[in-house]
Amino acid sequence: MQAKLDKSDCMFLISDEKLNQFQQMIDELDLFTLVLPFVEESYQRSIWILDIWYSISNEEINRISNPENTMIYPYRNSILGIIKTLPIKRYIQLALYENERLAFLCAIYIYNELDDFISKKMAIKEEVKENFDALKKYSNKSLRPFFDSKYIEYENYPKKLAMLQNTVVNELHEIHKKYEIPLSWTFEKAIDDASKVYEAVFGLINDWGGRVP
Amino acid sequence: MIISNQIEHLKNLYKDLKFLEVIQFGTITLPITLQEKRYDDALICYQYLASAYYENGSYENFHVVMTEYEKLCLTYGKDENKMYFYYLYSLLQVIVRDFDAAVEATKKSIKYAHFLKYHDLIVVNYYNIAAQLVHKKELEKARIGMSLAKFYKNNICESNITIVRGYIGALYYFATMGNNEEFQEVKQVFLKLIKDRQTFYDAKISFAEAILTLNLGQLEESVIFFEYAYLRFKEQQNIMFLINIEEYINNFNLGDKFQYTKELREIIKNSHRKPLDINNVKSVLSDLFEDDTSTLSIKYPNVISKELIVQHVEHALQNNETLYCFHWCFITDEIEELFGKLFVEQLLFTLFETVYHFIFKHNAEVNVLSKNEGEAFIRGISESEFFELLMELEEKLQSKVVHSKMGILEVPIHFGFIHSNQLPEKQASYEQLTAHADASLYYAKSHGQLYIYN
Repeated sequence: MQAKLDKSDCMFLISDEKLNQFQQMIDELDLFTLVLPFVEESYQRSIWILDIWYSISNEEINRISNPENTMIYPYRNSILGIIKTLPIKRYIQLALYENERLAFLCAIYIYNELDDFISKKMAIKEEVKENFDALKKYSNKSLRPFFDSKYIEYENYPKKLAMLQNTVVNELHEIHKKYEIPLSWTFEKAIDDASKVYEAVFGLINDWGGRVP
Repeated sequence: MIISNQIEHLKNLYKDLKFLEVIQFGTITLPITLQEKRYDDALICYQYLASAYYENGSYENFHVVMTEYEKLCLTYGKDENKMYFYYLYSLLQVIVRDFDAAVEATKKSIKYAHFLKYHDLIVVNYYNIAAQLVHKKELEKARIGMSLAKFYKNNICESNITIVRGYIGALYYFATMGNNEEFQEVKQVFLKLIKDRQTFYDAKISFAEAILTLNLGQLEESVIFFEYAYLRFKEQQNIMFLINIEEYINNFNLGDKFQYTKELREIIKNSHRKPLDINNVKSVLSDLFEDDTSTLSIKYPNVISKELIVQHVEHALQNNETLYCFHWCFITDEIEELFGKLFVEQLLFTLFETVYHFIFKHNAEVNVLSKNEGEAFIRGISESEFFELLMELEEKLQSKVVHSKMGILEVPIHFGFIHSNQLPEKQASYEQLTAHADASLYYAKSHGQLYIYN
């Protein structure tokens, strides 16, 4: 998993300290990251996981969104929006606020399961799949330079890219509407799997997390 | 039909840990598969042969097979082949004692195994990585590896007996950690599984037991285990493990107690062992395995991997060198429709050769991103020289037209670039440079221009 990340690509305004903590975990817990598919390794995948990690391990009131990035990365923004609505068992949620390592594992499994689920649904219609694959081609690098003001004399913003993102985001909303329940099961399964792996290595989650009877 | 049957036979021999027979039959099947150009089957043969040679301790044969296996895997390997290749490659690295490379290769094998859901190999690899990490003294990571191995093992409904391949790693881990209880537990399961089978594992088990007792401070017992392991390895002519025993004997000053000290030294001295030249099998770099780029990377030595290019660029930036990051892209969709895929591949090859030829007049390094795209970093080139190069490239590339019934077609070409000085000093990095060059390429493409210049 790529550890060299630029925090300005994150969907939240985060401190250097938080980013360092995340990068350190990529190194310390790298044996857990091996479940991520080899072929899909990319810069933006690491940023995705950073975003999910940050959003599940911090209460909403403490998170500040990076407004610029909601425009640059509308697809990731929408997925994070969906994740926010999905329920997490209370004792796990409490543990996630306390325990960064558990949150890190959950973020990896959530990314993996959701990406797999959404990719399969996107592949149903040939035309949607084409757009989805085209967007994936941009995942190796930061998209911020595409929105650099120096290109204004050519275009106000990268229209082709923005339209592509827009199409995929619309399809994502369709998928969300149509498969709301399976999506939430997938999410629950991801957290269950991550918790099981965590408990197998580091001990029971209720050791510190305030499991609710 | 004949080959399929032979492969099936090999598979079952291997599953039953009959490694000597795997070698006997494998050496018959392999040439036939190669002769008939059935490379999928040949890859399976290599995999079983390499594994069998390794398990039997015939390391030189193992090494020879790995060299050939790699070449074929590079060209025809699918994910499954790569998974086994990396698993075996990590074992090879352990033999030559490069534990960093071993760990990296094991990780790659685990990634493929997770992706393909090969639970047995996930477990074996996690056991092995625990052993490799404990050797590197990375104890916490090793502990995680071991816990994950156990976790995945408990989750397998049905496992093959071939899972015992991982138990040597587990034993080594517990022996080094001095954990007698867990060691004995694994050993019992291990012995039960290999019961009545003629394998070479007993020597390795004794060797691990010798390390365990040594770490528990029981020197007398340890020497007895080392002696038993010595006699068995001697029988097997397993020089590598004999060398390991000698190392332990020397490091722990057991020379007086160990009764075969002189004999052992003689055997090693007389073995005329040529050190395995690991460089023959060297391309553990992931991008060499990417389908699109492998052919080019082999043919053109200055095309280097992404990992290397990142290192070189970061190094240059640290030394305050300035450089241009240059991306190119050839758009061939239309030509592919009219002329077909193979034609386009050949055309792209010619175009790439032109880029290659001109760009290496300067101090440049190239990483091929796909058949249509690539990136180059050019050092110590002035702005005017750079634009001269662009003009040269434009002229040569645009002369590579194709002729169709409807007339002449030009291949649309686009460039994107950025100079490291254009970024704020702290932001200049490989990632930033390529992201900016890519953005500039994007605008050139969407405006149908060769390049855009700010």
